[in-house]
Amino acid sequence: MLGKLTKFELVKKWKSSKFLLLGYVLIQAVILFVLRVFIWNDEISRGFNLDGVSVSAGGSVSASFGDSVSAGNGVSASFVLLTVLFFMLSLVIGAYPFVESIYRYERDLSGRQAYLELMIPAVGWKKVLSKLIATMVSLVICGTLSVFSMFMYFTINSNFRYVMDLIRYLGELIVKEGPEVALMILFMLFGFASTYMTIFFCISVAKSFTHKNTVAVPIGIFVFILILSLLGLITTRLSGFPIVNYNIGTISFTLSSTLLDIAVFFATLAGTSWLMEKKIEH
Amino acid sequence: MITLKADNITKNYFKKSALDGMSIQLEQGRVVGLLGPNGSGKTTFLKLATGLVRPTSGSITICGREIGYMSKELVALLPDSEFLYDWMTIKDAGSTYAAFFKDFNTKRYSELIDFMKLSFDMKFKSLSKGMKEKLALALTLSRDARLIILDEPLNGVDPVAREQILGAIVKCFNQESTILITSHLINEVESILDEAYFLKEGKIVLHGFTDALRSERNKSLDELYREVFAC
Repeated sequence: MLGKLTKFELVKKWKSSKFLLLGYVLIQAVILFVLRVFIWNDEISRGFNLDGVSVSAGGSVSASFGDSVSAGNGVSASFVLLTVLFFMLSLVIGAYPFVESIYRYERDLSGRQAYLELMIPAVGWKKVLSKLIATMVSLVICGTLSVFSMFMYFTINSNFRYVMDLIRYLGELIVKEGPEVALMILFMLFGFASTYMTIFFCISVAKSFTHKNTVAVPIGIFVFILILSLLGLITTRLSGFPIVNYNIGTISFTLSSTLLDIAVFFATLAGTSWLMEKKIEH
Repeated sequence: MITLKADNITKNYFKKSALDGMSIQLEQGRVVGLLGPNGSGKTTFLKLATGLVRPTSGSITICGREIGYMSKELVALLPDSEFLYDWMTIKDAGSTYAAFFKDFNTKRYSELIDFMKLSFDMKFKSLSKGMKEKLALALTLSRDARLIILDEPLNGVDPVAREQILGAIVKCFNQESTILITSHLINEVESILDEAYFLKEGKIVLHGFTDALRSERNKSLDELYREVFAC
């Protein structure tokens, strides 16, 4: 059932977002085309060139840019405007899953389709987990799209050789520090999943009181702030009991805070499932 | 066999009482009408039976099971409002039901879609109100559920569509299941009801087999309804 629910959630997301995603790709492609064909010149290219890319023994990449961009030589106002627009759209698409998932979750609990959602004979945690998985998939897709857009921007506006050099260095870094990079990505994704789960929990608490958004939204925000404050307090107390300290890349972690993060994730998942099954009415 | 048993159900929304000590028992193989004016508590009761809301007090069981996600496997609901996504085609809606409800009968769904003169490539968004109602009914009746709940299935549809809807209900009814219908259009549904409950201000004020009610009081169900609910 979890597979079927996840597929349904993914289809819902695709159906509601496909035109936005396709529109985004089209607009970004047009901006890049205009930049390259009508505005781009050698000065801009030189400005983006990486004067030096190096990989240190620790694996960190360092790069320095040319002088042209900082000097502003040959960079027209239209180039700056289109660049700002391009990056703003990239940020919007990167943040889109966050807004969409909150809206979709709220609608699933109290919108007109709530009849269908709540009538599906599946245990609460499967419904919640399927929504979380679909949200994470959408986050990865939109995040990748956003990063890829930026990569295309640099590829098109700078010297292709330098971009290839950077890719090669990053590739080498991933090969060299593979497990550490994978662990970093895993930690980052878990952090996002845990944040979404906390938000879902707050929405569910609010919806178990009322479906009226004028009341439910403040309740949800209040619960969210309360949870964050509580977690902040517990984290501060736990810093005195690290159990084990460890590093991933340049970031330090303690086992106690990692265990707390895992506990919070499962507690919010269980709480949200319980609320969906026992408290939320339609 | 008892399909649904509700015992002394009360449902309060803050200080307002929607149901007040309602008890009802539905037996297998019957088409039962839950009749009453707006605000009498019909939809609240249907939501309680499907687990969409929870009683303030009292208990409900479906085929002996407490209301919960397990009981949802036994109940098919036709809500009184739209519940499908605009992007869905009639085929998508069928596939969604087939994925989630083990008792969904795809062959019957195809037959009902033909019977309702709809086609699989039609988008939900482009359907008229009557067509949406027919689609929702086709989905609901395509399930081999033990309890089929139809909330105002004739609301807002033209007389021809009403006939089709009633025809579909009769066509799909089997003795293994129970159908619970609410409607304001007593004249229209009277012919298919075996039993009727009259609900007023959250309480059952009259109950009986429709034939017995008609013969005992020498009145049609519609006349009885007007008598019971006259101001």
